[in-house]
Amino acid sequence: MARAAIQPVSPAPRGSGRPLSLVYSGGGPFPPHRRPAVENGILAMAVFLGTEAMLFAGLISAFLILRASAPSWPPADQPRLPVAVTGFNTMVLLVSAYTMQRAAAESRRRRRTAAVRWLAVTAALGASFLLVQGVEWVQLIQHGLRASSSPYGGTFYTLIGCHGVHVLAAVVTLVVLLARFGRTRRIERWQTPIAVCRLYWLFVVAVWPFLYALVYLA
Amino acid sequence: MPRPRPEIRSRPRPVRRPVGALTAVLAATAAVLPPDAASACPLCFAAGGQSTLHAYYVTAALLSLLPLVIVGVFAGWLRQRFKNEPR
Repeated sequence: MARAAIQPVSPAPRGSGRPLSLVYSGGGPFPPHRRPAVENGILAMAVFLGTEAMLFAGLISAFLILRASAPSWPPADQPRLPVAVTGFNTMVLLVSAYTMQRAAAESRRRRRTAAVRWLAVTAALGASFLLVQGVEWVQLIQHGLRASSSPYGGTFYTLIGCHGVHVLAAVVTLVVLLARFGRTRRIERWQTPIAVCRLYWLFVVAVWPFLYALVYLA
Repeated sequence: MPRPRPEIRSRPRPVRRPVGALTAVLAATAAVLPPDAASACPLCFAAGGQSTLHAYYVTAALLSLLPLVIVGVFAGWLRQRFKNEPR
């Protein structure tokens, strides 16, 4: 039985769907292009979220140790955090996870109008969360809670601010996605970007209840 | 027809490894320089109390186990994706 000839093949052009191998030992035509089990963007986002989880774990650890070593928490001369308003804000963020799920599901069904609508609702909910957080911060600063006033203020602004920056990044990404996805005719091209945004958004939403329970309630 | 070149064989030279001397130096170093507790962080030596110690235990467990959980969840998720992929 003759062995299959090894034929040098020129590199496949980008977007041709052919595998990126220079040597093919099958002797016949290239096998049909297979869609990967996990898209590159989703894989990259999953790895990135692993590092993000470690970032928040480090910040939470610092918060726990500073809190345990403080004689009283919160300090007597520092203002108390608004638990009720932030609880309502938490509900807003949890609802935004549902709307993001709906947007991803509609994009998989290739319903662009519905997907755009749910994405817009998600971005609006995220922006309202940030707005309430901003108003809350202004009031806390006016009442004397600053990052430099005590470890209480420092850990509060670091931990909650880090999460706020993540929400802001997610909202900006969603707005950019909306602007580009709303004009496209090729919906199937946007399924992976929307899935990546969904992963990031769900992570940001999932982290918040832990922070709320740790910083505001405990 | 060209003559075949004679095969050259050389005996490998024995390599002298100063294993005994290195071990003696390492043992002497370990005996002369015993490790001591390094209290680098202010919290390690300034903060006392059972609650701080408890917080250190909790955070050490969190930071040690979370990477393993992340890798485990990631591997399980990948396995599930490959399992569901039609062949």
